[in-house]
Amino acid sequence: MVMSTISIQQVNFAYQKKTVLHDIQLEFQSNCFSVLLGRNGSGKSTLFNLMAGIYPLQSGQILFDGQPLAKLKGKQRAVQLGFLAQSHRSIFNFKVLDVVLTGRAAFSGYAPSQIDRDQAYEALRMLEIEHLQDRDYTTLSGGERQLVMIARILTQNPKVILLDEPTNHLDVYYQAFLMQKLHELSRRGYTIVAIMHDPNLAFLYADEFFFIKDSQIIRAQDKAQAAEADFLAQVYDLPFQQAYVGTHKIVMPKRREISE
Amino acid sequence: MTAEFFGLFRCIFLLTFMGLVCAACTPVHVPSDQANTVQIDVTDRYGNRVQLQKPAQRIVCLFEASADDLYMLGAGSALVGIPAKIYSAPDLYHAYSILDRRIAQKQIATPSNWEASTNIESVVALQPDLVVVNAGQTDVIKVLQKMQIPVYAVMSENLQQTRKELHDLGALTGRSERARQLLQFIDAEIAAMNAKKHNTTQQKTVYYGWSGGRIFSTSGIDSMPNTVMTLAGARNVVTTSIDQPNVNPEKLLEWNPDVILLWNSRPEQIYERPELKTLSAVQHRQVYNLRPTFLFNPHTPKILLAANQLQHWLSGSVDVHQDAAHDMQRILSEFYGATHAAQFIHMAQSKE
Amino acid sequence: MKSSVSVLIYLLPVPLIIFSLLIGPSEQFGLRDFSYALYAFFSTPNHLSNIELARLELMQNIIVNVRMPRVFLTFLVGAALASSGNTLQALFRNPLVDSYVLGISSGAALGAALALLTGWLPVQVSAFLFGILAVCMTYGFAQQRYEKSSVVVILLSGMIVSGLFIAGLSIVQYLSDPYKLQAIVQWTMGNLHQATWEKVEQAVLPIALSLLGMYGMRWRLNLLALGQLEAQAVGVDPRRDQFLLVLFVTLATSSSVAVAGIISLYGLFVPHVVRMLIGPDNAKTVPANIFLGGSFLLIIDNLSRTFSTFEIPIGIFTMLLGAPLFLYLIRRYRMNWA
Repeated sequence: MVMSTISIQQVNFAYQKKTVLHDIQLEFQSNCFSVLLGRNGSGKSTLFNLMAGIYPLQSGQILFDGQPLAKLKGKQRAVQLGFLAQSHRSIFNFKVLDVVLTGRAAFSGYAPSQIDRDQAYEALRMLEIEHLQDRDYTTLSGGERQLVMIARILTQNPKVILLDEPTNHLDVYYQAFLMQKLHELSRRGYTIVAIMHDPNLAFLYADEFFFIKDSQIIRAQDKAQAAEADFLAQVYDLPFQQAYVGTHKIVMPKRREISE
Repeated sequence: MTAEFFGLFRCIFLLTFMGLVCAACTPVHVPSDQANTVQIDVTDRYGNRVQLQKPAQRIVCLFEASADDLYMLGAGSALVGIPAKIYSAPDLYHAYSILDRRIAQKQIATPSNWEASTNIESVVALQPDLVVVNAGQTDVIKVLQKMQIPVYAVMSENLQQTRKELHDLGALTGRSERARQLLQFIDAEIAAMNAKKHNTTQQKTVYYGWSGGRIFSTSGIDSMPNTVMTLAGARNVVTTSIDQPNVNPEKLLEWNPDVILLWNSRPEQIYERPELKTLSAVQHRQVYNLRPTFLFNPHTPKILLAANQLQHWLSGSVDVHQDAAHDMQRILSEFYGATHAAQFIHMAQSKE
Repeated sequence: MKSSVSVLIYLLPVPLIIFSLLIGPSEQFGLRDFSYALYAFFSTPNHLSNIELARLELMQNIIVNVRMPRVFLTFLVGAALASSGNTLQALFRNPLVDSYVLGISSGAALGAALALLTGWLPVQVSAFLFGILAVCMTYGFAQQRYEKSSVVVILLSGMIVSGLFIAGLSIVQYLSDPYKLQAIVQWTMGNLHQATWEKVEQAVLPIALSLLGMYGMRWRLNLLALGQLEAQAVGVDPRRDQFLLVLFVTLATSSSVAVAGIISLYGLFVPHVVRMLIGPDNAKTVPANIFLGGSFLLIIDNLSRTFSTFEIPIGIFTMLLGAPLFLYLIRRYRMNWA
């Protein structure tokens, strides 16, 4: 698998005169499961939209393997980048296989070929959901739908997969299942970047951590510091406490006692 | 302090408002001159009684057919207001310019847009002593009556109505003698056509196509075109009383009329259609066009002319065109006088 | 069940068309007479008397010059409206839109009214041009920088443009004398009874091209029906495809309105019927809408022209017949959207 890094350089973004992102400088490595954490309204989603190419850049650059995103079109873009937006609902009750097949749209011209169908089956198998292929998409649970959408992105086989809060609305089973799959995918060479807000889930499965607060990036010196209660308290404006399960550290908010 | 002020303001406002309402509700009393005798008294078919002391001198006429009647009666000089379409429709403008130089020079006012829209203020500003208006405009009639302006309502939906209106307009303009003359002429013509009817062997069928090229729209047996046909001794192929605006070409082929009568549509529109080529009217070139429409307006006595021409066309005689032209000249002369008749015929020919 | 229904949909048109040529409002000639006349095209009979020859010629004339153009035009228009409705419903991810939602019907009606009032262009051409103008205005008004809620904006813009053109239409009607007004109203009610080969020639090219285009993009419709973001997520810029599809829809619908007037609701419920019968996969529904859309309108038109000598505009029939059918189907089948 060819490596692909995402390089974000001096990106500023303002929406209606309010600065949402200030001088963002980041690099996401390939073969790596990176997570971006932060509070609501800190600018995470805006950064995601800029990286996915949904919003046009106002200043700075976002480079995929050294190429600006705006220059990548059609098949070139499909090969580089696939993203998963937040919860998706379909109006029409397509079959799961049909939904997954649409992932090949950038390659298949106007009708899918056997290669496309094979890719679709393969993607379903990789995510262990091949038993869903003839079900109606609208009858699936939230977690199953999320997996189908990821399978769709896999048929595209992009080097980078961006996900915006992928574990929202999922039950514990699917949260774990999904994070496990993303971890496996990163080991296969994909560059996975996910925006999340649960630090524990991130620490359990991901490799690199980035934090956003007040439109700016806060860096941790290393993974150990990222999981420090003090550091997290700074990011989330909330007192944290930590504990160990075996060698793995988990963090929790400190509950404030109600004074009588 | 401001609260009291608003309270006072509200009182004054309410009182003024209620005063206005009361004023609007009381009927307006216009003193009428009851001492003078009423010399002219007609009632139109809607029961409106129109009373004049002397023949009308300032007539606002908002129905084009009635304006035409007035010219036939020789009372055209009393017109001070005419319908706008006399100016805006080129055919009408040419025809009326022949009848009245004032119209040629656009000197007569036009207080209405078409038969359904009348500017009442403009009408009143012309100070008419008689207003002739379409019976459908009930609001206008009511307002004018309230203002004590004599209003005569017309419809001219069939020959009987046309006759009555001609008679009444004659009375209202002091031209009763001329009206009688015209009515006698009309009766004589109808009798002549009836006599001719009994000479022919079998009744022919006619299909009538609407104006402006709508050849697949036709009129039923309650219509004026139907009257034209029966006066001419023919039968309408349509048997329903209502009009049929959407005729399936197949039906027309089945009816196979002997003659097709068009109203201001080119006969080529029938001849050119491939689906109509099997019609006997097409194969024998029996498609006739009544134009210009002014000369055949069925809401006026000229419906006779239409029937007359149709009867000639149905006869299929050798000199059909000559006979038809001769009769046209004769009838138009009776209506408008020989000079105008000649001018009309010239106008019709120059537009061929 | 689904595959047998599909087969039925694709097999229906040809026998239906032949049957439609044989029936009509004629009281003189019946089904057998016309069947004989049709047969006579292929094997000329001999030993016929003059009268019989005249009858035969009459019937053949009816078939070729009256019924054929009407049957073909009806099929074309039905296919165009149903396919356009299906495409727009997928494109806008909204099951409540029909082919007229972008303002086409109001635009075309204004164009036709202007032509009837002033005669500046032939009625068909004027209607067609104004239909296209309406869509351009709808898109022009709906331009936005961020695409998030663009579907709602486009639909709102379509409503506004419709309103504008209807206001214009009212003005034109107000200025027309009663005869022209009647002609305008008649035109808007839908008029397949004046079908001529000329109209077929005018409509066949734009409609056939559009249908071909929509057919070619049927797989793409699945992607676009999932959503704008979902299309971008797999590297496809949906705007180019959207533009093409809207172009096809506009061509097809404008041509239909130009030759046949406004046939309400047809483009709304036929796609639903098709989806109920064979599912939402556009790869299958696009061709099905073409075939079933054409056939169904043909059936309705057959009824409207054989029912009585008095022709009722087809727009009225589609509502009278389509509405109860649609209600029945709603009760019978599960609605095919979330």
